[in-house]
Amino acid sequence: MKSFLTLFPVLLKRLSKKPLLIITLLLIPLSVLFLVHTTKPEDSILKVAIYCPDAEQDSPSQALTDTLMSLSNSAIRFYPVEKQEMVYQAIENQSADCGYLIPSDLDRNIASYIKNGTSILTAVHADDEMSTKVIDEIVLSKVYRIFSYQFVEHYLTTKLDAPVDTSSLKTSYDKYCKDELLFSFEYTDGQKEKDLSKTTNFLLLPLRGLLSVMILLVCLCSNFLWYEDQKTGLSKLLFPKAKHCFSFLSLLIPAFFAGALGLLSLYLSHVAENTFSELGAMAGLLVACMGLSYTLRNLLPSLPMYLACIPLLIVSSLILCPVFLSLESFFPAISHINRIYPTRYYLEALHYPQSLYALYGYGIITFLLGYLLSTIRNRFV
Amino acid sequence: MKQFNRYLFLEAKRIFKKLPGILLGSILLLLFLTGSIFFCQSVTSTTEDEKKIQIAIVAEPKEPFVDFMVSTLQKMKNIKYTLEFKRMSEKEAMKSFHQQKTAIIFYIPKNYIKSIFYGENKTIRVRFTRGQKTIVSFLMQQLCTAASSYILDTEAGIYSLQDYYKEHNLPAEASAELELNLKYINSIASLNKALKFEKIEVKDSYPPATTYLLSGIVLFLLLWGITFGTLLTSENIAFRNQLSLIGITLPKQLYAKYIVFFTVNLLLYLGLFGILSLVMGYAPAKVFLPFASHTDLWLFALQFSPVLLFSCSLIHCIFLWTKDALGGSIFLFGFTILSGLISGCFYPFSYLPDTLQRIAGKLPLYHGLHYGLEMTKGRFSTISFAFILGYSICFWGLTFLAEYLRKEQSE
Repeated sequence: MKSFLTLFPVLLKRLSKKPLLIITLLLIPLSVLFLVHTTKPEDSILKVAIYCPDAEQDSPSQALTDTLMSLSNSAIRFYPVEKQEMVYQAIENQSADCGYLIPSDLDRNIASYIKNGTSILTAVHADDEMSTKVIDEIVLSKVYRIFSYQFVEHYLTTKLDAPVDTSSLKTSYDKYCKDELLFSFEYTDGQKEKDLSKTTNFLLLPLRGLLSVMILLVCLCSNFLWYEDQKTGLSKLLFPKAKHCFSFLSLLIPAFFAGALGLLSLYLSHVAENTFSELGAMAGLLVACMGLSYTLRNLLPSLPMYLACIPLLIVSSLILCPVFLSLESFFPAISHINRIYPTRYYLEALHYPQSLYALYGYGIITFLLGYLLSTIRNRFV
Repeated sequence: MKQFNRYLFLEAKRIFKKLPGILLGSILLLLFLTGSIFFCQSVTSTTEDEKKIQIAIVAEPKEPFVDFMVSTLQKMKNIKYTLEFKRMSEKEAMKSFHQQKTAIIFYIPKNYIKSIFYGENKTIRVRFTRGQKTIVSFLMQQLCTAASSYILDTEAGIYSLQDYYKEHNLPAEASAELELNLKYINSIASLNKALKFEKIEVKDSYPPATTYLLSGIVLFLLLWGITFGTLLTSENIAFRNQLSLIGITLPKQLYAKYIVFFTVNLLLYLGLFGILSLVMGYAPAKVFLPFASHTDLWLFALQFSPVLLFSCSLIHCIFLWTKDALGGSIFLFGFTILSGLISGCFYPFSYLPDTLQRIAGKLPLYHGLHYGLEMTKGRFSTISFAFILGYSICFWGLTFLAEYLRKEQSE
């Protein structure tokens, strides 16, 4: 305890003499605020151009156009254009991801589709991406309301082989039409997921992953000072009986600072969820990153070899862990490789208890391994 | 000149002493990582089905229509090559989910189909994430909204048929209802025929795989600078002053340091392209590599070298300005990631808000990436090249300024 109280202010003061580290870490929450405020309400990931020729105000074509406009959110934004050519131009110069040409007589086209299979509307695409396929389904789902009525009307006409009382059928159909979401989303532990398409800024989606990689980098880089101490022998000279405490605090102080600012960034960006879960996961991450860092410095006594690991660990964490995209669905092998990175467990720890235990387990194992390597080194070197 | 060459040799010796460890370690680790991925991929993925994203449907064993729905979904043109639907028990689904074989689980509530007939809309639970949300989560939510519309509007059609039959006292309502249900399901499955597709060429579009490859190279070149933090920040002021006295002035000292640093990075750069050249022969890698032959690859490496010049200038500037390996490394990482995010390295550029797109146009990373992408199409982007060169000169100028101010202070 005495060593801890002696060393803590010494190491804290040493860290305070690295102003760039502190400034950079302080810039993280500021950068997050910057990203939060650069997104306007009309910004969205995917942009869709809609062309509908001059139709009557209450016509199905205009109603469909209005419905699509009302669906705009931070994921997809539908916007109208005045001329058909503007749809093609928008896609060519990438101001729109795709476009739709809605005919002025939509209901006649739908009736024709039911009878003869001719197309209802035109979709203009640049690429066959998953995102444009999803937009096709959204547009078709809105056309489907009109289609569904005409489908049942056509069915009755064919089945009964007689004219159908359309007014009572339409009244009945309109009575049963509803707009509801029949799906609820949940995490592995059964906890409900917040509404995804509301104000969440997609640029902040990888924030948690980026912060975890940043914390790993801080832990790895804090060993520069340890290598310097080993070279000069200063710590052994000044604190011969407190080398383990010195070793631990040299990792803990920068990691703790980075973790605290990371948590602050999560709260500023509204990405943070339950406070206890966040604290538990962040503590686990700090333990895991410190453990990995401690093991690596004892495993690699040579500074050049240690330096070689850092960019590779960082870049591979960003790619192989689901920070931006989960590549595991496309390359299942990655789920085996990314077990070596604390980031993988941290990203799942909030809602997948096994990952939280794995994160702490990872930290404990790496600390024990590092301690074993340190003991071996001290005995034989 | 002779003294300058001697100093250059000394500087090279200082850095090259550490180089084998750094370079060899990095290349070995890179080879190990790449090799592990390819090895595990070839062992793990054996069938076409295993390459699809698996979705589990969990329902009561006696729940009607579920098998029919699953087989109908399997036939849908938009999804049949990428998604695979399987009916499972809850236990099997969770086991598969934990093993990461299943990506999404749909839980159909008990007596779901019966509830629809009685006008009650139960909620289907979707369990699809173990970790944080991604853009795929957003799109999944949109797809579920579309699916809700299909279900509710189909119900409206069925109920209005029921009312019509009741109002007009028509016989055989149950069989008509069943027949209409089946027709509705088939019509939803083939609804994409309602769209007439037109495809148009996009100006300046790049394959996503190429964009990510080049983003990876640019980011790696910058983040690689973390390795040199301790080497670039160490200095001997007395030695520096001695050098000035014998005629190797400060600009010459910086110039020598830069040449050596650039040479080291060039070796790494060549090593990186060497690894790409090795993996070019493997079929899975061809998806990512936009080069028809090894000659094209190495020609590209030569043409892309201005980006290496820029990355060296930036790294050199950060560490020589700050003289702090720890802080400089964290700053370099933060700068690279933030610039990369804004410049379209992680997400397609078109996804970004307009404000950020305007800012990105001034950033060196954006121009580095754009320059490389234009190269893959056989075009030379003068503006991007000018930006890269301009930023390189600026950072070099800042380095000189930092050292000059430091020298003035010490005097």
